[in-house]
Amino acid sequence: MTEQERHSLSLPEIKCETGMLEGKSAPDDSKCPVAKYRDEFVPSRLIDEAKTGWFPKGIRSCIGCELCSPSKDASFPMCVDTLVTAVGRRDEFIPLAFGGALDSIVSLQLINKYKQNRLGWIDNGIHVAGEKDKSDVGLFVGAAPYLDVLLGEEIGFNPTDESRAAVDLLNSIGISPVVLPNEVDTGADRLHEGDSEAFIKLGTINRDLYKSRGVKTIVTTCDDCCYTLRSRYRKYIPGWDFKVMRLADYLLKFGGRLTFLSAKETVAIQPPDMYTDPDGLDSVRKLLKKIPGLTIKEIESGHPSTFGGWGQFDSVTKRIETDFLKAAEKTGADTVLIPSTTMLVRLLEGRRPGSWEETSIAIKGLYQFLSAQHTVHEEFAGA
Amino acid sequence: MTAPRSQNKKGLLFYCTRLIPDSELEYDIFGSGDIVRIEIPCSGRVGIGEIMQGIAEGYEKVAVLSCGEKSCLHGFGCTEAKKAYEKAIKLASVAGVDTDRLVFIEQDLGNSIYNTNGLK
Ligand code: SF4
Repeated sequence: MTEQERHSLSLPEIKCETGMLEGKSAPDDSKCPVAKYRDEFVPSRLIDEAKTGWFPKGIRSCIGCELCSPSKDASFPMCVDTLVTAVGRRDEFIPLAFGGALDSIVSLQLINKYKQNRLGWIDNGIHVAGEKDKSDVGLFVGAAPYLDVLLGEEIGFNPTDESRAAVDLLNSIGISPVVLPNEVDTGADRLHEGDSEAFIKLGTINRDLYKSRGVKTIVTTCDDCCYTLRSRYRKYIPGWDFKVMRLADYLLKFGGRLTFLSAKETVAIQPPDMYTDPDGLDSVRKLLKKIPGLTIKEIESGHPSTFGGWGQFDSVTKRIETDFLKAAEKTGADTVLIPSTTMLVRLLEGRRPGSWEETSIAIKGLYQFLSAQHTVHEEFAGA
Repeated sequence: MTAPRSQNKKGLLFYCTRLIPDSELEYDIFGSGDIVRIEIPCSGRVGIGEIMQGIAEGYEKVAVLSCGEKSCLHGFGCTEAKKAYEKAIKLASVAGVDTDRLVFIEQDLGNSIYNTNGLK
């Protein structure tokens, strides 16, 4: 396909299960957080542009939050995926986070010959399934071990602390999850760049690794990973038949015996939305309600629960992040609990000295918070 | 700045424009074989992204030749380059890449301090 051909899409050939390209459904522009700061970004106009047969370049600014989607079956981000994969990888400038370092890690993972050393965060206090053992439950860790290196020192927090907390919580309900020593990136950023070949290869590697360990259910502490593993992998990776769950959902469903120490604190949480909680389980609130003495405040709705991929580290997402923290502060809570590692890292990254808008509310990872509060059942101690 | 594709070249050398990479030093680092040299206004311009990209592009070795801390014209170039190199070493190690593939050389008045595994 020539570059010219790739710029122009052939609409009749592009099938989008959302019905948006066929005019059967439309995004709600008024709900879009990106449109608030980027005048030229209007979701429905981007769809109109695509209908003319040209690739709407601006669509790459969509952070994929689902706020504008009219329903689960008419997801705007899924329509974005369809368009970017139809047009493929192009020679336009696509920003890469950390000067492209993370993208290079993905390139190395795609070569699939290196034995990663990504489990350094697993200490003697937690238990994962042995390398040759099988388990029904796998924990997807994502880029956390790399983000420890890239940002840990700067933000005073190692993203794998959330992974460690996840294993601790799973141990407390008697589960030693599979944590893959050679797990690879979800590839969501590559998909957003239109590199569906790399995306499918990464997904296939993850699929085969989990199958070889007997995993049936994959849990994650990262809502961005969860979204990709749950929605995108199902669509693009043949044989991806795992149940994918947020750790909060899993703990609520199977952690009936999980009990917590009391905490006299006020915490803010985000209300459920279609991106994180398509089935309306409201697990985060229900889990936190098990903590005696804890006061839970809800942040006003309308803020996204993702800030997009690592390449979308720009002034618009920075403002969206600041808006979110300000809304959390408005609740009067001492701490905002974040149930997603990527979102947590982004917020802490924005909190670095020199951040252009001051906010003071404490930011904590939900799973570290829960892990510090849970009590140990005797029969599971040392599970 | 991006690292060019290796096309089976042995090494990739980023060097500060105030230095002239000498062939003996190059041989010490890369051995025989073709290398790609990229001249940069200051070694502080070489970030973790460029170093990791060089590795991902398939160069056997990626080296940064920097002025020493005392002789850096801008004062911070060598320090920044070292920071990037240190992080690249850690990243490469998590990724399972042999860290001997990353080299940092600091040159002050003809004295080279040559590191492959973390900075002394
Ligand atoms: S998915 Fe989110 S960012 Fe993308 S167009 Fe819809 S509301 Fe805007």
